[in-house]
Amino acid sequence: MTSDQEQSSGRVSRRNFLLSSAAVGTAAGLAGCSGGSDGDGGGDGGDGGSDGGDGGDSTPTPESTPTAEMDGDGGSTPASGSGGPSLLTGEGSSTVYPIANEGSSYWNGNAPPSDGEYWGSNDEGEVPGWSQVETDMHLADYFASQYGFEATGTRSSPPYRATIGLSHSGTGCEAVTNGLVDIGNSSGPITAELDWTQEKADEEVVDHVLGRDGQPVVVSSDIYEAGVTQLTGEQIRGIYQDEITNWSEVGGPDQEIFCIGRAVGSGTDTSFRLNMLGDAEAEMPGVDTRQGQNQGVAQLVRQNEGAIAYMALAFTGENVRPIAIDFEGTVYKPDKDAENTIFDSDYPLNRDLHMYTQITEDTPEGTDMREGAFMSMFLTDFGQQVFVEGNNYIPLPTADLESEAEKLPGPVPGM
Amino acid sequence: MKSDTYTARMRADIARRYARSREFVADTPSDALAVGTLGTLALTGAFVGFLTTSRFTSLAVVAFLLAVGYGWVRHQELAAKGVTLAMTVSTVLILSLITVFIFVEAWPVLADRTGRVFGVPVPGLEMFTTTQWTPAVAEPKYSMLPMIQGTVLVTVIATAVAGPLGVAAALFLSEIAPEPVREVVKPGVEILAGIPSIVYGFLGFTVLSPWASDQFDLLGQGTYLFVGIVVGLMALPTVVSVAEDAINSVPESMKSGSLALGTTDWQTMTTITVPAAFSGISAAVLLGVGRAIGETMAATVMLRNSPAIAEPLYNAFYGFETLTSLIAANYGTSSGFQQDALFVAGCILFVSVLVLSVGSQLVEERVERKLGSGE
Amino acid sequence: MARATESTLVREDTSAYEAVAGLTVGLAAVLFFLALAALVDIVSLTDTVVGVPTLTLLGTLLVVMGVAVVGFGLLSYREVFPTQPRESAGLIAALLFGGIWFLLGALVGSETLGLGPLGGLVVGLVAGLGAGAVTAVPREDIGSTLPAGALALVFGFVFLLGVVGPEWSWSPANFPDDQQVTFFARSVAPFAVQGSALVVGWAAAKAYGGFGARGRHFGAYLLVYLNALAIIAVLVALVAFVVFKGFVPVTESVQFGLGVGPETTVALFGFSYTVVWPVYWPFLMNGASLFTDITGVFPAIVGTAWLVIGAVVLAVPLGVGAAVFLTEYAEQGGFTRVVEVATNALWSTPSIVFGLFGAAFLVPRFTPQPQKSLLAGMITLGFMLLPLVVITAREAMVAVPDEYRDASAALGVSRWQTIRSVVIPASMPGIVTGVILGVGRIAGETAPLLLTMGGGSFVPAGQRAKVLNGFQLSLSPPFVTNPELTQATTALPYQLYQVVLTGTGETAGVNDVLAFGWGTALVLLAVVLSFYAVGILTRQYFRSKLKYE
Repeated sequence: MTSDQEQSSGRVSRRNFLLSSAAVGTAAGLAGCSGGSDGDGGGDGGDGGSDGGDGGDSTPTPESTPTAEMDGDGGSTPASGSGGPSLLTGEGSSTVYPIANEGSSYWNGNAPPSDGEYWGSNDEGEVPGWSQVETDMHLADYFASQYGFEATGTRSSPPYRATIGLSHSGTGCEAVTNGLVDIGNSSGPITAELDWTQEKADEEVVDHVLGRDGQPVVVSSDIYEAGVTQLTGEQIRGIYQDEITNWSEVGGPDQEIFCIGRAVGSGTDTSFRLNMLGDAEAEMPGVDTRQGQNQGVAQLVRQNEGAIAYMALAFTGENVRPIAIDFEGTVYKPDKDAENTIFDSDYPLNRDLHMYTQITEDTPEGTDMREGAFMSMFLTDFGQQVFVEGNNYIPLPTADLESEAEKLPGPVPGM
Repeated sequence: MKSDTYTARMRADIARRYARSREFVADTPSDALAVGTLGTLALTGAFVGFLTTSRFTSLAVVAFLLAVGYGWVRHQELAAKGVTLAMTVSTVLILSLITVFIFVEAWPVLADRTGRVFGVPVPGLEMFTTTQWTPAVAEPKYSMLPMIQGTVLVTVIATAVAGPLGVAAALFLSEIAPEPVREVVKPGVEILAGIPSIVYGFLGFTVLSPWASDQFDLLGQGTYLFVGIVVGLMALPTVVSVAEDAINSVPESMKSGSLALGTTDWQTMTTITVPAAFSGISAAVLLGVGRAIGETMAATVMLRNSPAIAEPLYNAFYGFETLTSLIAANYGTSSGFQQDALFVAGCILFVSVLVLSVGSQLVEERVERKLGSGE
Repeated sequence: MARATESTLVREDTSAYEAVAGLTVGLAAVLFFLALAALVDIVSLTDTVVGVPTLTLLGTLLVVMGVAVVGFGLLSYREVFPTQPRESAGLIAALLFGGIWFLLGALVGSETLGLGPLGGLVVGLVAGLGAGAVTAVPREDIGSTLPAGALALVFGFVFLLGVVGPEWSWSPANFPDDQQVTFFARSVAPFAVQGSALVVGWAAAKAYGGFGARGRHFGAYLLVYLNALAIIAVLVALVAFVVFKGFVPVTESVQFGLGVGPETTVALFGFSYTVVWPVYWPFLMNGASLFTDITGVFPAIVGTAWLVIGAVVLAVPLGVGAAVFLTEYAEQGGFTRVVEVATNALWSTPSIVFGLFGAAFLVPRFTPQPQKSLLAGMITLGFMLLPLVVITAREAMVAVPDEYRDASAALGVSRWQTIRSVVIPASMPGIVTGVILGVGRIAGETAPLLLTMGGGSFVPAGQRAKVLNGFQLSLSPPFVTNPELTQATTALPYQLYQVVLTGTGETAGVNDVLAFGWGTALVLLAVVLSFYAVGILTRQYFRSKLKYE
């Protein structure tokens, strides 16, 4: 073993190396994600700072003191069972997603009434629908306190957080009926998504409608500019059922039609089949590719030539052009000022946007307080204008708003 | 006769094992035996409890930990042997669990789509003889053929890229490159292996697919050809590392002997080294093929995700769906038979990669035997 | 070795023949890169370069090279210059050339001559067999150069004479309308030029070596070096591109300075100390929220970190224990073979199959309702890491010399003690290296996460997995719960996937989703490559420091 001894003096011993690296690693780990039992306000790798960063614009040092943050967070730790109300979860349709997600972003932000941009009013401006509300509470505090929750008075710290997942209407419906999420977003009726009768649907869930979508049919910009700005219902049916395969057959350039559909379980897909082809399970052999969400469809239409797709209003844009559709003589245009528009309720592809909540033993009415408070936000003028109209969807008329408000277990401000 | 000696040998074997275990029981102190049995029972109980999501799983785990703790303190030797044995068994167990669960989940749709061949019921036959994948209609059809075509095309192109280039690179690294060049190229190849597949997919999706669609005037974006090239790039490091090991294991004496006769380096390589390492090199290529079959994220991101048969069959300029991308794209949103069909795709993947892996292992064992005895 | 060959022992200075051959190789390289530039539109194929239409230039160069190569062959055949060609160029070269000419003949026959697929096949066979014969039958110097030169000449004249002009295009007729492919000159010409350049370069290199064994040596070395260079170039290009695209989004608004960053409170044993970070790096420290100017990937980083920690905690003890048993305790026989096969099978199982297994087996078991969770993701990744740990640990333990074990036994130390104090410490470096490399691999895995863990992808920083704070003890089974572990969360690769596939994030306050994607890709690449770099460096360090003789 003499060679061993000679060698051991010249190099770092393995044991030392292991011990020191373990020590360094543990210290780094502790420093990085420490938390003691004093809540997760200041601990956890800059949590206080990053929440403050959420609040402040570019001044990283938080103006709100760490102690206030700690209390706030400690009181509303989501789903950790330390006392606060649990996280409000929603999931489902990509059509409803922009509304629900923006709402949850605003909710989680809990802006103060002096903000002016997201809530309240100040010299620079005020949010739409402010006159109906005019409170000096923070956004989420205001709506939640109407339903019995305690206000936190802290920006980025609502009484409980909301999170919205993105998948399909079908998944959202299933998730809410299995109790996996609180709110199931769907752009098609649950009776069509899950193949239920209306009685069963009435027993299992409560249907909250927040807005409407005039489901447009869109074409890519090269086709639109070539002059195809209107099609008849029959032509669209033919394209989707593989009877028409070239744009020249419907007055366009000589280009193969790139026909985009939606994936299984999509409410947009179900509604389209229901309203355009007559049956929720009709075949669409003409489809070249399917996308899971509206966002993906918009991307495809932007990137490819000769594309046609059906989607939701929120995703139309400069390179994703909605066309007018001639249904049996009536031409529905995508223009709000026209005589018949796709925003009308008698547009055949018009559909309700649903948020389903489950009827359980605890909530025979179907909506518990957290869900009610969250949804009441959408039914105010503020909600309808910012979230529904702001995403290019169709707000509900007053009569419908009132009947929706009756489904909630608490008040809707302004009504 | 042969069977007689075989049974006689088996019987002798069993007798020997029995005798040995009796010895073991006699030798070990009784409390060690008791604790050992308790620990084994607790571990099995915990496993069963986990399988059946019973509330008493944690009790069984606590019991196991207590048994191990006691054994560690009193009989560390035996405890160590037992614990490491359990860990080894777990490796095999995990593999069998994977096999079992995947097949169990795939069974319902296979049973539902049974076809008949000459009166013999073959489960799942319809999934391999029809060509439509339409899950959203009144009579859904689940066919694996579009995905199989996709996987085959992608794998063939990937092997065409990774095979020759990988073997050439392995030859370069082990025989040709001077030391400083080797120090640069070898880590380079390993870094190529390290780039996550989603990053490859992202690059392919944002840069390669639009370029390809433009170059060849394709309808929409997504081709098997370019997915195959990207997957080949990902499988290349696998081929390089295994082939390099194989080439390095050729004894130096063989090469030196050849050089002493006046051949050039390249001649030595083609006539001595590569034939000697041929089994290892083919094992490397097989492993590369296995890697290419199993590649998921690059395919999911770059393909069109709507299963269809590309026509004609060799049309690699349109890419729809492979077995892997089918699962990745559809899992979150499918249920019932459609989800089971995804498991069928998983079965196909698992079995083919298993066959390739076992095959390459057998080939590598031939290498050891050949070179070990043939010196 | 019954044949005796005469080879010159002394080589004089490079003769004119060799010089010209070398130049041809250089020209072939220039042509290769020119074609590459044309392919990626740095040089436009339909336009002019140095005042000459590109295609004409390429054609001229091809013709020049073709003539040169054929010239080499002829000059060698005529013994104008001393070369040592073999009897034949060999079967492999014949097959390769035959294959190339077969393809060319088939395409020309079926399309240009309008003979249809069968006619094309016939023409192709004729061309292929002819090329194969020309390669194999005559002496090596003709056989290697004539088909190569002819290829270059054919393509060269085709471009030069305008048979294939800048506006040329061709669509195969038997492809259905909705799966149509069109080949343009701008795609086909560069490929043809590159192929010709490779082939001609190889023939010229053989000529440089004077054919024979030395010529093949040069020819082969040219191709192999080119291959290695190409691989490295691709790697550098990939990494550089990601860095280039992602650098700006990642480093946006980074601020250095005291008191600039967020605060961290370290609480240990009742003492709490607040540290204000001197760095504020928005992309790495923010989540997604309305109020952040710059959306960041902090929750994803935290998710990836916890996944890695969980996987290592699961896989390393299990793997090292299994390796210990296999190398120290078990007899080499049926059982060890089964375990080896199982480990190898696990190692090559596709990641999506692990994901399916996790979704089928693990996801339904941790919560009352089947739900994707961080814990399921950790365990699935742990299963993926396990075979690597077993293989690496086994290799490391087998490498420990038996003398160590024997010496220890001679001192009367028991088996387990030996393992614990001699074998395991000796094999630690190998194990650590293997684990680090394995962690690098699983940190970049997406497919299992899609199926077992994928949660919301654009979440505020406050909503990340706070695992350390989530542990709760209770007196009833199960005794330890942690809601943070049983919730779905996000991780870096999953986040990138969401950006790609759905383009979501626009409603979560992300302004430019694609730039965000590049930034995420860069962060992911940096994390994974740093693991690999550390692993490779540790391996080199240990190899240089610890030697077993």
